[in-house]
Amino acid sequence: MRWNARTRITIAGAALGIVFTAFSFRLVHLSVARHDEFARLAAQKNSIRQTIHARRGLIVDRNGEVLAENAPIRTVVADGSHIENPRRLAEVAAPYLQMDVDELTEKFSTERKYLVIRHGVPAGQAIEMQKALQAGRLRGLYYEHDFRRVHPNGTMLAHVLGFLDHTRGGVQGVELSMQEFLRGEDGFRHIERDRTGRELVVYRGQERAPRDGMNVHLTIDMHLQAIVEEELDAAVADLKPHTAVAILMDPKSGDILAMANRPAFHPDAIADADPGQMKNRAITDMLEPGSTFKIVPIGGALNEGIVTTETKINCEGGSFAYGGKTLRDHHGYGLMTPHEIMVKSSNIGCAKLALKMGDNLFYEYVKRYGFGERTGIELPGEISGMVNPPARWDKLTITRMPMGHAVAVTPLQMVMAMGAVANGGKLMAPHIVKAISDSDGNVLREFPPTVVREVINPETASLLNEALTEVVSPRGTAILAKVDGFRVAGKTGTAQKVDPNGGYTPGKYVVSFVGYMPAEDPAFVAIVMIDDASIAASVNYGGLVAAPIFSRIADRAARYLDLQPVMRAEAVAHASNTQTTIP
Amino acid sequence: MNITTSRKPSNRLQISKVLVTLITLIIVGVAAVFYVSLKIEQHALGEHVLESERVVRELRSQNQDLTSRIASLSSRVALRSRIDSGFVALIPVQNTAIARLSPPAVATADGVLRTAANQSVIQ
Repeated sequence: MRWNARTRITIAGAALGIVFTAFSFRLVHLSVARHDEFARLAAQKNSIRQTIHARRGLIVDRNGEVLAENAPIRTVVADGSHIENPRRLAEVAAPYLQMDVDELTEKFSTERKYLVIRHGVPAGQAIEMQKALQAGRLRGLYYEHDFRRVHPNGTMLAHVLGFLDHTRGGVQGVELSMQEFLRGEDGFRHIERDRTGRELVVYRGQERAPRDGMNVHLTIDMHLQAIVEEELDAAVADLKPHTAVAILMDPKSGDILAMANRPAFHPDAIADADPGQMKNRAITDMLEPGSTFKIVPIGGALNEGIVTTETKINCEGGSFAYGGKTLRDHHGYGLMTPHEIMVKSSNIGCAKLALKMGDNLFYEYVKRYGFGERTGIELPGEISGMVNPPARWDKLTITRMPMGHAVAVTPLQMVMAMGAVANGGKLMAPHIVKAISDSDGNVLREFPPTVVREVINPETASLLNEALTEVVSPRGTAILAKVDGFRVAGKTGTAQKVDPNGGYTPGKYVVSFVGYMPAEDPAFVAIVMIDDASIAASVNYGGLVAAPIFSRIADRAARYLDLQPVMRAEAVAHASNTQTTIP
Repeated sequence: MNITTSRKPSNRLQISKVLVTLITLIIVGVAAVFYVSLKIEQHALGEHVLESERVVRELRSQNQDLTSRIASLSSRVALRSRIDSGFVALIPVQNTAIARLSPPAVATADGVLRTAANQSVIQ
């Protein structure tokens, strides 16, 4: 049978039609029916969600001095399949990686496509190495971008700044408390890559830019911080105490100007520090304050009108039997006004003032000064101290608490309480963060001064101010806290260390001085607290140990703050030569 | 006698249709070539973008590195070590060398938070 042309064309057309229909069917089957499956496979192979890392914000002091920043670093990785001459590559890379050539040669002699060679290579060094490798036409070494938190001032302010863990999360200090502001938000970009791994920019998908972390401006003034730390270091070298704390605060705003602890640690070398060194004892340790607490009963009794400046309190000649125990003064005193009780630091006088106030009213003033509650400073780990309510007091508590026993406070609470006296009676909320700004310097949020409450009225504050000023005079207990040319007000404190097993540890003392200057218009309030100085117990008093440190800090701070002297230096010098009494 | 021609019947070449087809093919071809060249251009631009991004990233990185180094070199600790080594010296400004243009402001001037003050003793 012979097929004519039409038949042959029909058969050929039908055959082609069947073939193309089969292809079409397969095409439709692959692209429609199995679309999801292949799309997922393609995405797995070629599409990735690339993270764009946000820059962590800086921490700066009130003058813009950088305290914590980011140093770019690289993780150097090798792709063994790209390395042609391991020895030559090792010779070029070794000086930049600061590694041995033989060790590197051994590492490079691999077929592994991903091998971490070294973490934490400074960016500048990595860029130099890259140039050297390009010049030598060498392949096989690649970089992963990363950053390292750097604290240019070393141990200075370490307890306030804190540090980061390996996940770049804040662990302590401002790095932790301001984490939400500092860390920023990573961005992302969906990209597709070719089979060699290079990105195909044409097929870039959804993209979100990273939001860099905000900068945190502290209230700390690094000039004052340096002064405080230097003086604290000198004191620690001299006295060899267990711990030492100093805080400098602006009484009008509650701004913390300096905060230092000893022992200290380097935030860039956490592995070398032990936990005890990392504690910010200014807010995490509570101690019996001793006589510095006497501003509470004297201020409270005067403020309530229970006593006046003329009221005479019988100080029993230095021995007062109450509740089956005898309370003693350092010296025997007779009748004294509240002013004199403060100047002479009479335990009996303060106990009697508290007794006149009664349990509940005295307790109310303890709370009004801010003891027993967290101050709310922008630092993590703050404790509230320990102030038991009257229901849990024994018969002696009302005579012991006024002299700073049977109560535990943090150094920060103590300095804030003294700040209330210094500024005319208002308890301020302490701030260590002044403002938050974006990376362009635009201020996004400010932390304005906050008055917590009025503790005492301005008249009472004025009376306390006069008494505290006389404490730093030949008649008082803290003449060594004087600063030439200025009137200094303050109070010493000496308390035996509490034994963890109960009672007190003989021969171990926590001594302190908390004061402000100039007394007539305070520019700063400061506390110096020295725990268990390695000196004879007979000289381990707040007036002998902590007051001179305060004096040196205050003297240098006055120069820096350009405070104008109001007294002639000779008058003060003459006064200092007279007989003094140290409690 | 029936005269028949021995010439085979043939289709006449339809020039117009050939031209239309050719022009259509040329247009499609040019469009395809243009499309391909555009894609090549797109990829080339993509490479430029990648390279530019790399340069910007490196510059930012270098800038951050230098900023970090400057901060470290100008920090208080670095300054202190230079003072200790005698490389630089600090000379305190004497009070006599300070010209005061205006006296420092006191709290009573702003009237916001008046301190506990005993004005009678200010000399």
